[in-house]
Amino acid sequence: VIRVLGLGEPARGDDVVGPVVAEAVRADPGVDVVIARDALALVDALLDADHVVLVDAVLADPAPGTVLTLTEDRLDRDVRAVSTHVTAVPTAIALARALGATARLDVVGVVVGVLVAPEAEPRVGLSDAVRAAVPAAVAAVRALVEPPEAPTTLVDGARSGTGA
Amino acid sequence: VIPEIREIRVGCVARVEGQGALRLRWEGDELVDVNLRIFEPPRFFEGFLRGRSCLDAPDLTSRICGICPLAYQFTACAAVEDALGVTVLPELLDLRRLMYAGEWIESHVLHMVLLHAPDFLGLDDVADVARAHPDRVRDALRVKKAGNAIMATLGGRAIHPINVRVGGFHKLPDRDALDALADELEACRPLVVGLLRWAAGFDHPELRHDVARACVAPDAGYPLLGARIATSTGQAFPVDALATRVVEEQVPWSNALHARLDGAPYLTGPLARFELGFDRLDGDARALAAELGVVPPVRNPFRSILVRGLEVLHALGTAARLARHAPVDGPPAVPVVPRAGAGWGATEAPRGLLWHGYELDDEGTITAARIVPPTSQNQLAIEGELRAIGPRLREADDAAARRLAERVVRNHDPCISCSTHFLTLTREGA
Repeated sequence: VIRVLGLGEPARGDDVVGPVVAEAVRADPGVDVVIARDALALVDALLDADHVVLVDAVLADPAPGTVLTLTEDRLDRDVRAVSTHVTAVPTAIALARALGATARLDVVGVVVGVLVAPEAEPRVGLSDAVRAAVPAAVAAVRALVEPPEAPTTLVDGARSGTGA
Repeated sequence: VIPEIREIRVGCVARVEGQGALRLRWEGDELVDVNLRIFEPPRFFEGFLRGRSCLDAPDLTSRICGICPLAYQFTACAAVEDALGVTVLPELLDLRRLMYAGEWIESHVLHMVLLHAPDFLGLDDVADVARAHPDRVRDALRVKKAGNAIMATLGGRAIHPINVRVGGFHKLPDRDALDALADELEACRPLVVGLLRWAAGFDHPELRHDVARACVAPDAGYPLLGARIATSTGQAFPVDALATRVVEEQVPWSNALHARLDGAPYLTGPLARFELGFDRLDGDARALAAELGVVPPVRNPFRSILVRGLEVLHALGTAARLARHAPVDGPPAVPVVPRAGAGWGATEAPRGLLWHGYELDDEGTITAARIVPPTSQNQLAIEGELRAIGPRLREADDAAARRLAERVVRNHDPCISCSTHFLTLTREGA
């Protein structure tokens, strides 16, 4: 089973990009899509599935809207949740690995700017830059999910921009 | 002679909900300042509730907390129902008890194993605990998931449920889902017994700091929902008397108000409920408590991890029973007509006593609100415990003292973002 986990909070602007991208591949064959607001869902995913593609908003240097495909070892392990409301992604991965999870993990990250600017009105939904990145992020997920011998189909699928 | 000054600061208390810090200051041998600094920003909920319909209070206040949203919803319901003179049917109150058990289970297990156990095992975080005790962590995650499943089955989703309303629920649950829930809750009970035996083997440091304990009176079972408050000093009074008996005060170092009951610090939460409601605890939980030597009153807060575990066992048993008998047809709510009034409600959040008060105009619009969460009520008691353990902190080196001081705070599972929703922000010199 390949699980695509879209992580994000719908009420926090661009943070919802993970769920938006994951929903776009929900109808794809061989994919089990899960939407969650807390990375604890990643523990379950890594324990239950053979291959997990985590789609999440990321803070990184490239411009907002950049799509990054990352392997587990590229993630910053020192990120910790300030609050127990949420589990940090590295904590969830460490927890799952400690519990014996052997699933392969790939991360499709969409770079976001400031999630909610202090002076801005709270916003539900994506900014223009991040919305424009959704088709590329969907393509990146499909590239990880589909067998490598069919790359052309992949790109065509991405161009159709299903659900994006 | 100028006394030696020593200060211990913990910049951000880890493994608690929200943002808080600690500052302890000695002059010579005298511990002069103990400040649990809650710097989580004020959140003004009581302010922005004004002008909103009383029917919106449950969903708005649920956003105070992502761990105990239901506590806010049910407490708001109780207060608004009191204001409107609404009597909720007993079977709907049972559904509330069932759903509330879900929140207790997920919150308590999260704290016990993911946040609190590392303290006793000398480990940094839950990943370390999982490496050393994978079976315990696996069990805890399964039990937590069962708690989430109760919330999702009755509430539509596990966090910030959408099915709660003044007068009852929007929709009743489905029989098959309830039966599946009951099966899983029963299957979780032995896992919690295992977690409790494990935690009973931890080394629990000695600490005793006696303050009054207060909770919802155990009139209708173990403290949860109800119209009266009971205290360990033998008092019992209606919830609305809290409004005058509890005085909240602002202190410079905290964005959460400090509360006193009848002029004195007091403690709410599992230790208070266990002390005042032990007779109403689930029979299996009582028997295990006796076997493990956890008998009321438990006055050592380091043993709160065991009381939380016993409350999880109680909640699993209660919830399984209620799920088997919960109504699946009939009206999901009693009729509610907004009108003028004032009302108070109190319930037991996982961390302790939570109470709300609302004043409503002729249309049922909120004109005044007061929300008093457990953590702001517990702040003074926690600071008192830090004072009580002061001599041990004084002897320890800085790293060990910081660690021990943080443990004293974590014993009470404080929910810091809940505690800073207060009404007035006073700025000095601004």
